[in-house]
Amino acid sequence: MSFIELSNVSFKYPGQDFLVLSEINLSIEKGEFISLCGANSSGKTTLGRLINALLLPIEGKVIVDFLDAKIQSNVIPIRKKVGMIFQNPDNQIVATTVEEEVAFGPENLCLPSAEIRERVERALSITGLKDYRNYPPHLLSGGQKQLLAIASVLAMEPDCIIFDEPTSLLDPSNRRIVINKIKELNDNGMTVLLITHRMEEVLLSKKVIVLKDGKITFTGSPLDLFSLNTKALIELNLYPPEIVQIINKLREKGLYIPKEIVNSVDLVNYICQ
Amino acid sequence: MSIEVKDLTYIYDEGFVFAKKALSNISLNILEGEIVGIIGHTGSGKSTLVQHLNGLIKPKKANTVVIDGVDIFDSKINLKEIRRKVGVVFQYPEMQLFEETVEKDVSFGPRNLNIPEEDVKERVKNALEMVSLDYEKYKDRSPFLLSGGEKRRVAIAGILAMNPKYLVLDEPTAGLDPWVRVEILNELLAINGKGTTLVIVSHDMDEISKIASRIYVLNRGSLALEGSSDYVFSQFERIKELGLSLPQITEILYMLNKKLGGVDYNKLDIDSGTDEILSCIKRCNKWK
Repeated sequence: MSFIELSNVSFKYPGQDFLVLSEINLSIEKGEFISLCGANSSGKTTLGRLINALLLPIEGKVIVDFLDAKIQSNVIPIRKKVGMIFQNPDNQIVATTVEEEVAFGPENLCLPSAEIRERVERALSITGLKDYRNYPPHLLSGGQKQLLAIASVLAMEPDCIIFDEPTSLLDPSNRRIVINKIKELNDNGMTVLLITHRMEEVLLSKKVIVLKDGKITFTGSPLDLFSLNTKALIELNLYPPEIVQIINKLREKGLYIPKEIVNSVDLVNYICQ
Repeated sequence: MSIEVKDLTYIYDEGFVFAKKALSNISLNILEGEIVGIIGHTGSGKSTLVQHLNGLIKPKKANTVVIDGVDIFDSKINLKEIRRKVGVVFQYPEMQLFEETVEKDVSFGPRNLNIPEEDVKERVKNALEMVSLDYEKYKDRSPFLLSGGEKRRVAIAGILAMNPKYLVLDEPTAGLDPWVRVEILNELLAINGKGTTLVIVSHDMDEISKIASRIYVLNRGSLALEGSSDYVFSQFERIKELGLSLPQITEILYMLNKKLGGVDYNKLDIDSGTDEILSCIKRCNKWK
């Protein structure tokens, strides 16, 4: 059995008459890096929330590390195993200093204070926020705030983190910092599910899943996804990234470009060969 | 008529430990009917600048921010008038939604203007139309149960209903998916077409290149670059230095030019850009 297993999962919000997700089957192994794409209202965020038991399916099963999310006593253990990072870090920051923010989770686990200290230290050093430990969070930059949110989740020592568009509110340089950190976490064994619209982020993962109208419409490698032509991507409700549009346009105009080429540097080198 | 900013400097918490200079010696000019882009990193001072444009932050010197000939430093001026003239859509404006229905939320502004109820309704209808939301379909819905893109639109409509002459939008498409992003940009272009002057603040060069005719680039509170968008995007080295990204097609042409020479990299759209790549390949093959 995989670390996370969703079988025939369907979900709708109370009061709505349509399914947000229907018959989703998905398994995630420990240590995997999966990205999840799809247009707005395709069900991405809902899927993420089902995996850490913030929401429960109306049909089907969500199993995390052999724990069935439907059983009430499993909910807290599941949330400890699966952490979540949202688009806007301001929505999850509660404390008055960086250090206290990171300690908030472990404190609520009623851990001994030496252990809390240790976890805070580790989380701050992984995210590079040690120098900011006494800062009030609102004086951090957007990227630092997102790193702080990540540190707070790390202090809970989860096995998996779901990132729900963690960089969509950041500028390019902060985006790079956060995304590199996510990659580094995965290199060190963290299971990562990354919900994103950004192709350069999708390329970091080994596997990409595309949702459309609550159904999985594509599963495969990022290269397979981006070698689809512009029309096929639009059918998946994905907005073709600019580089894919450029490559497809060149192909349309008669230039052969192998599917391994998905970034501008490789494209330029290929043309100059 | 125009918004003029002359030699504007602003320091947060002046005289305290956390004092931070957010703007230094900024001068800019926004003419009626234009679409002006303001680009910069997080922390470059964009939002501080925006708050000066409708007097939310008052400058400390006379004649630094002058709107249609009115100096907002002057203590006798009516700031309400200024704010009616310059509508500001803040970052994530959907966080300001508060009413029970879309109609009530959008009409909150105009209803406070003491104008006849008929006119309020008319304004709400028009404003929603401008952001492509059907009045009948949306008016009775709760703004909180809408999708992210719809919420953003309702929030923008709330400002449009005030009929501002200048509309300033701080990161209007941040956090939206690429489809909605394109739709909202097109709606903004149409709004400008009807005569509203737009100031769009963004860190997305790509987006700005598609919409603005003039651009100011802010870096650490100072103006680093300014001019027509063609001019600004031709300053590749400088843009890179500032840590901003170019439209990808332009970047590819620029790299090709570095390697092969003779490439016209001043292209911002994919169609003409790919043509340039192909003609460059043809040329190289001839040389081989």
